This record gives sequence, structure tokens and C-alpha cells, in this order.
Amino acid sequence: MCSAEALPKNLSSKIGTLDSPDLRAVLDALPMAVYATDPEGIITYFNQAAADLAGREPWLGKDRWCISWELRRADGSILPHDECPMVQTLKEGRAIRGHGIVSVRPDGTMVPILPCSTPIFDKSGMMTGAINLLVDISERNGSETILDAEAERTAVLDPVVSRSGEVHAATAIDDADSPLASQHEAERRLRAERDSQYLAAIVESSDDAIISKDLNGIISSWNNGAERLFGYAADEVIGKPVTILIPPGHEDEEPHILDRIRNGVRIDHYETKRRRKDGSLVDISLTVSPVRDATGRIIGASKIARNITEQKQAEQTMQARLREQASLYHLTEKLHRANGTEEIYDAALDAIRAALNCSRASILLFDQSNTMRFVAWRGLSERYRHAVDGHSPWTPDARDPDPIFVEDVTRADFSDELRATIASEGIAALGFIPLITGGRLIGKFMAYYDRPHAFSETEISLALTIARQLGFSIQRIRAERARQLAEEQLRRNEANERARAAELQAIMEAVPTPIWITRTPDCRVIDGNRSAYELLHLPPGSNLSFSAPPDERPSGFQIFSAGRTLSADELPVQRAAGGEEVENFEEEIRFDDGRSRHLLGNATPLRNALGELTGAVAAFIDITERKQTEEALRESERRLKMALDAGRMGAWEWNLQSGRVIWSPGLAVLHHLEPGACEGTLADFERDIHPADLPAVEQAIERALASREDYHVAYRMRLPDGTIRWMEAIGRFSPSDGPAGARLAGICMDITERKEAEAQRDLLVAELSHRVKNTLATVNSIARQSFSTNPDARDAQRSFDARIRALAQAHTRLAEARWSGVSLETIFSDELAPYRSENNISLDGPPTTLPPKHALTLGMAAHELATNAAKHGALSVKAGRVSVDWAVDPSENRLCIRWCETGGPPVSPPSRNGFGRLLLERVLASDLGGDVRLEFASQGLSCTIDVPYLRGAQ
Amino acid sequence: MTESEGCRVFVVEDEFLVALQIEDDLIAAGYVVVGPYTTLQGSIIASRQQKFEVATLDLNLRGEFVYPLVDELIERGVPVLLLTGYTAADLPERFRALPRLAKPFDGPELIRQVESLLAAR
Repeated sequence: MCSAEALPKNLSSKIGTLDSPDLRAVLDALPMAVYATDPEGIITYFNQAAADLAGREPWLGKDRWCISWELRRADGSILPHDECPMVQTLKEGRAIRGHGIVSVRPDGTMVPILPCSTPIFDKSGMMTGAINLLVDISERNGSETILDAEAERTAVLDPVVSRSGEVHAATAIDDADSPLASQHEAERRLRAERDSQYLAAIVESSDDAIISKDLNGIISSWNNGAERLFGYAADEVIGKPVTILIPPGHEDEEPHILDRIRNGVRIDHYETKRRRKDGSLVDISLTVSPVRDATGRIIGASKIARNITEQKQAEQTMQARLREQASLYHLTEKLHRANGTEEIYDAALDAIRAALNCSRASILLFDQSNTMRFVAWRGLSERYRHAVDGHSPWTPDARDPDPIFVEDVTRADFSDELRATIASEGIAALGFIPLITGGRLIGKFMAYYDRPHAFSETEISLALTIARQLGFSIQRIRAERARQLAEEQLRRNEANERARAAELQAIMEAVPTPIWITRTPDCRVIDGNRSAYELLHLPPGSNLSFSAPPDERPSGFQIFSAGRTLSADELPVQRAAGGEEVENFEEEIRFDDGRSRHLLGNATPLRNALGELTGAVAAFIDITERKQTEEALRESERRLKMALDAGRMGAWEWNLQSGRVIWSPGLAVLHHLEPGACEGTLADFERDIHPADLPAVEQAIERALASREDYHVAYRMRLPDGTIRWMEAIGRFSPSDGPAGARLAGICMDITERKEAEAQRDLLVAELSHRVKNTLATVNSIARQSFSTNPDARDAQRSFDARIRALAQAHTRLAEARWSGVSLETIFSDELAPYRSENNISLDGPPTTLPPKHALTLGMAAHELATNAAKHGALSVKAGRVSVDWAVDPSENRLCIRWCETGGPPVSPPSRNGFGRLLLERVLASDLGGDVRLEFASQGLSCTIDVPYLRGAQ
Repeated sequence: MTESEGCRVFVVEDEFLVALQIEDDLIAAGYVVVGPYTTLQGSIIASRQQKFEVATLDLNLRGEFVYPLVDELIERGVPVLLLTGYTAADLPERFRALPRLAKPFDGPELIRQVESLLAAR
């Protein structure tokens, strides 16, 4: 479409100085944007149409190359002024039929134009500048404004055109009438010649066919453009009817046109078809204007025919480009205004379809599990979306992935299954365009085509632009949503805070414990809750601060702690307001009327967000009752302890739930442990139990747990030092009705003494039984001996009685001494007492205590000796004497007793061995291991008893 | 009576008068008395040296209990008759089932017990 054509060299008019007012008027009125530059490209002229097209008043002598505000290429990219076709024309000295470009007005509206720049040379062949025709190729809408402006000027244009027709004629006349030129005329003609040259240059430079005809339709002029368009040279058609150009079916157009022309009506942009010389048809746009003579009479018509075959194609392309451009601008605008993702997706899908000329599109984003999911689509079936859901040519961590364009699905490197799915959806070509924000792949958009589609550079570029815009917008919306969420959260938090503050206030008032609060660090004012005022018997709202001025301070009470009045600075609120955490502070409020309340509580500082102290709050509980209960409990515990200590008892509690065993200090002492040294488990307790008794204890515990009945067991305990103590434990089961759980609790007492006493008692009883029965056996034996050895029953009876009495006497003495022993002297003295008279008996020896066995046996021996002496020996006569003396040999541990009778009747050895002798000789020998020697001397019986004797032995 | 002829009875009794009676009763019944022994140590030594078929034992020998001797005799399979003033409850568990004659006892009862011990031998 680009063609270059050098203009005739004889055109020498200086373009820069359009000094012909007529010509200037013609150019000004031309319904076609025209501007001229000097050789440097500086704008030297523009007509009104140019200004209208540019939407601005070009700056003469300043603007360079171009009158437009901004130029864009068909793909929407900026075309710098110094790259516009005019530059090429001026550089290369040739005419340029430029590509379609877009002139952008300052107000943003755009006009697609076709620039046709032509250089102008003077007579010497020097290029003096260039002229540029800007052909408006916008569709109806775009051109309307220009056409409207044009219509307004029609009135002006027509006479101008007519004058230009006159110029044509004049030129011809000039050529004919040159001899008539005067100086003035010569100047005028020179000017006219220049103008006509100039106009001719314009006419020749025009790419359009410019034809004039008379009212009969006979062609009178034919420019190069006409020759190019229709194929006829000027001389082939001048003088011929214009109808030779009219194809069949359009025959009635010419009479109609001529009709209008005759009536002075101009025909604008009438699109029709004409026939070329070669017979082919060509689409043209026809503008026909009436040509008048100097009197205003219409003498013919000037028509401008523009080949719009290519223009129509170009228009379509341009329209597509414009649609793409518009879609992009539209997208930008919509995205900026979008409030939600749905709007963004809608705008993007519209833009994708418009810009990429596809009927279907979709947007997919990675979800939280990094799976590509459809978020918006146009024209896709649910089945298809389901089938390809999750499909992505890129992984989420792909870095800067390139878009993928599949021009023909049938030749794509897809799996058969995927290809079948795509084909069944009627998709023949498709594009994957990655969406990237912040360097991260977040998804893609897809363009689908029903037919194989070659993606142009423009489309790819647009696709990437849309992807950038879309990605940015999604990110913006996401950020916006996050911000809104955060704001909402903040609002909710604030609302919550307020609600909580109100709640706290309500709680503070409602709680039955007194609360003090001050909102200044100096505690000048302290408020309380209802409970505090009630406690202090003060009206609600009164100042509770002792730090207040004297006339505001509360009265009627004083605050004590540890037995003394507290000063204001020592009070918990005041301390906390100074920054101190006051915990477990106990105080007593003593009222003037003598009552008092005990309080326990905490005070804590209040701080602002900067951490500065702003006051303090204190909360207390009334522990008066608890104090009293505690005191009572302490007293009770003290009494219990006394009782336990006195009874060598300890208390214990076994929590069945936790397994913990608690011992009273007394119990620890019983276990010979430091109080508190018990580790508090059942094992501690069982460790000390005598292994032989452990099964019985465990059995008792099990029984108590199973039957819930009282626990009672006695057992031995082996203490760390090895001693054995008897313990008795009594416990009672407490069911788990309280929070503490089921418990077995009771006491443990040391019953060792009692056990020992019991053992002693048992021993004594056994011993007593043994002794009594032995004694009875002895009595039995004595009876048998007494009666079997003495034929005289009465005598035997007396002997027996006396022996039993002697035995009883020894027993009596032993009992008197609590069986600790009897003095030897007493034994003999007792037996000899019935026979004692003045000086007939002497007892002489050291004090000697006889153990019970010795006492009984020696008592019986003494009885036999005394009885015998009284019957047959020294005591049977008045002059007889008995002396008993004894000595203890400590080295031999023997006791030697000598019985010596004197002054009695003569003694002869007994004829038979009576019981007395048997008892003396054998019983003493056997029972005491003694040695008894009887001597029947004539002056009297003597008996020596030598028995083992341990001094002090029992 | 002929059965008991020559049968030897080991007697431990520290109370001489009681021992005397036991001795009298046994001898009257035709037994040969080995003893009586009055101390634990003496009786244990004698029990190992003397030959006898049955033993009558006093439990308490001057404060010493005769249990070691009882254990030894039971071990040797010698029938034992306890002569004591103690009740069964005062005895160690293992001796409670042994034949026992409570003091004071009479002669025929003693002889009957000794005879039944020998018969069960």
C-alpha cells in the first residue's frame, strides 16, 4: 500500500510562504487535514481540518514533524513523532503512503489516520519542505465530529472549490492568454501560477482520484490518483463520459449525482463501486462537489474518489486494533473501579475476548492446595471445566513462565485424553497466559478459539498486558480484602473492647467483693464498687481515698495491718498506684463502733498503652468469717494435736484419687521421721511395716475400700533404727462427695507399751498358771509323801498341814515382796518362830535375799529341820538351842547355810528315811543343785546346805 | 502291763517333788525311768546319750522352755507327753497338738497317756 512518487520537478513554489490568500482559503477549506513543514520538519502551516483532526491548535514554528498530540501504532504502542512518515519523507525526499496509525487527541479520543506525506521542491530542485495529508479512516463514529465540522464549512468550501475550478480554468486561460500580461498582470499571474502549482501539487500528491466533469458527465480533468485508481491515463478518458467507470447495476447513480450537482448539492463520502479499465470492480468513497463559474453558475462537478478496498480492509484491521485498544482501556478503567473479584473477572473476560478476538475465555487461580481452579469463565461447559480442572502447564513455583499459545489443538503436544476433551468442547486453538504478581505465579487466563488461530504479536502483547493488569488487580483486590478484614477485625475488636469494658463495669458493680479503683497515680480520688461502699457503710460515690484532702477523706474507720494503723502511703491502692504489685495483702478495717472486718486481696497498677502509671485497682475479699473459722480450726487442731501427742498418736489421710498420703507431724514422729519428711505416698507408709504384718495391713485396707467400712488394724512397724513398735490404725472411709475425692482418713497410735503390757500380762498369767499348778502338783506330792510314809494317819495329817502351812508361809512372804525375793533370815525365822523361846534360837549371817525358788525350797527345808528339831532334837527340850548361820562366798557364788542343834537329847541316825530327810537331801540337791550334809552328832543334828547363789539373782 | 515291762521313759521335771511322784507312778507301772532331768541343757545332753521309748517333759525348766528338746525329740520320732501347768494358748502353735497332761495330774492318767503313746508308736 506504500508507494512513493516524485512530484514534477517544475513545482517550485515555496511552501513555507503561502502568500496567495486564495490558495490559503482553498487549503483552509479543504475537508481533509493538511499541514506543511519546512525542510527541518517544523510546522509552517495547517488547515482547520488538521486542527480538528488533531484536536488541538498546532504550534506553528514550534511543533515538529507532526501536528498530533500523540501518535500510536496500530498495536497501540506509542509512535514517537520523530519516527512518523513525515520524517522519512523529509529525510529521503520522497512521498510516503504511510501505514494506518492513530492520532491521539489531548482529550484522549483517537482518530485512525492514513498519513500521505509528499516532499516539495523549488525550481532548483532543492527540497523546501513537505506537505502531509492526513486521511481520516475512522469508522462512522470516529469521523462524525470531523464530518460535522465539515458540513458547517460546506458553504465556505463550495465557493472555494468553485474558485479552485476557476483556477483550473484560469490556468488554462493563462496558458492561452500569456501575451496579454502586463507587469501587474504578470505579478498576479505569477502568483496565480504559484498557487496553481501549489494546488496542482496537492492534487497530484493526493492518493485519491480527483476528477472533474461537466454537467453532462464528460470528464474534464484526471489526476494521477485517478489513473492509479481506475487504470486509465488522463488522455484516455478526458472528454469521455464518466459513465465508462460505472459498472452494471450502478447505472442510475450518475444521473442521480448529476441531478444533485445541478441543484448545488454536494455528495459526501458516497460509497459505491466503480469499474476499472481492466474491468475489475473497486470500492470507492465518492465525494462530489458542484463547480461554479465566476457568476456562481454551476458548470460542472469535481469528484474525489477514494479507493476504499484496501482502506476497508485496513479499516477492519484498524477496527480490530481499536477494539483491542478500546478493550484494553476499557479493562483498565473497569479494573480501577472494580470493587470485587467478580467485577474484575468480568472485565478481564470481556477484555480478553475483545482483545484476543476469541469467543471464549476463562480465568483460573491456584487455590490454597496449589491446585489450578476455574474462578471465572465464558462459554465453557461444566463438563469441560470439570474435566480440565486442576490442569496447569506450570507448577506454582514456576519462575516467570512464558505464555503458551496452541495454534492448532490437533497438532499440539497434548495427551490423547486432553486433546479429546478440548476437541469435544469445540476448541481448536487456545492460549495459556500466566498471571504473575510480586514475581509469583498465581494462576492463568485462557483464550479459546473455535478455529485454529495464529496469534499475532499484537495479540500476544495484549494478552501479556491484560495478564499484568489482571494480576495486579487480583492482587489489589486481595490486598484490599485483607485490609478490609483487618479493619473489620479491628472494628470488631474495638466493639468487643467497648462491650468488655461495659461488662467489666457491670461485673465490678455486681461482684460481692469490694473493689477500689483510682484513676490518677496520686490517688486523690478512689472510687469503690457497690460492695465496697456497703462494706464501709459509706454513701455510693463518696471518696474512699485517705490520700484526699482532709475534708474529703472517708471517716468512721481505720485500716490496720499487722496490728498497727496504716498510713495512706501504706495502703494497697496507693502502693499499686506507685507501680507496685501488691499481692495477698491482709488488712483489718476497724470501725469506730468497735466492729471490724478482715480483708484479703491484691492491688495492681493501671497503665496506659505507653506503660505509664494511670492509677490502680484493688480487689478484696472479706475473710472475717474465714479468720474466725481458721481461728476455731487452729484451736481445734491444737487440741487434736495435744490429744494425739498425749496418746502417741498421729493422724493421716489417704486421698484415693491422687494417691497422696498426708501425715500429721505427730505421725511422722511416730515413724521417727522429721515432720514433713514423709514423701506422701502409700509406699512410704508400707515401707516401715513389718514384712510379716504387711499382708494383714493390705488386706485390711482392701476390705475397708471394698466394704466402705471402718479400717482397723494392728501391726508392727520396723523403724529405721531397727526397733519394732506396735501400731494400731483406725480409719474411716469418706466418699467422694467433695472436690477432694474419696479419702480414707484416720489415726495411728503407738500401742507398743500396751502390747508389751499385754504380753507381760499373758506371760504373767501363764507363769501364774504354771506356778499355781506346779504348787498344786507339789502339794499333791507332799500329801502323797506325808501320808504314804507315816503310818499314823493323825500324825501324817498334822505333818501335811504343817508342811502346807510352811509352803503357804513362804508364798505369803514372796507375795509380800511381790515375788522379788525373801530374806533368808525371814524364811528361817518364820519356820522357827513357833518354837522360839528366850535365846534358844540364833540366826546369824549377812542380809541375803533368796529368789522365789530358793525361798520356797529352803522354806520347806527349814520347816522340816524345825519340825524335826521340835519333835526329836534340840527344840524338844528347854535347854536345847538351834543356831543358824550363813555366809555367801562371792568368788564361788555359793551360799552356805549351817543348821546346828545343841543341848538336845542324844541323837541317833533315823531308822528310816522319812519325808523330811528325803526333802532335805534330794529336793535341795535336785531343785537347787545344792549339796546337803546331815550329821547326826551326839550333841545334836547339824546340817550344812551349800547351794549355788548368785547375789541379786532372782 | 507286760507290754510296758522294761519300757524306758525319759523324764524331764525340775520340780523335785513332782518328779518324785512321776517316778513313783511310772516305776509302779513297770517302767524304767530315765532321769528325771531338771535343766534344759542337761536333758538335751542326756536325751542324746540315753535310750528310751517315750518322754514326759515339763515345759518350764527354771524359766527355760523345753522347746528345743521337744523339737529334737519329734524330729527323732520319739513320742512326747507334755506335762505342764500352761494352757494350750500359751504354747507355740506347733506344740498345741501334742498330747498334754495338765498339772496337777494323777498317776493313772499319766500311765494311760504314756501307754497310748507307746501303742500309737
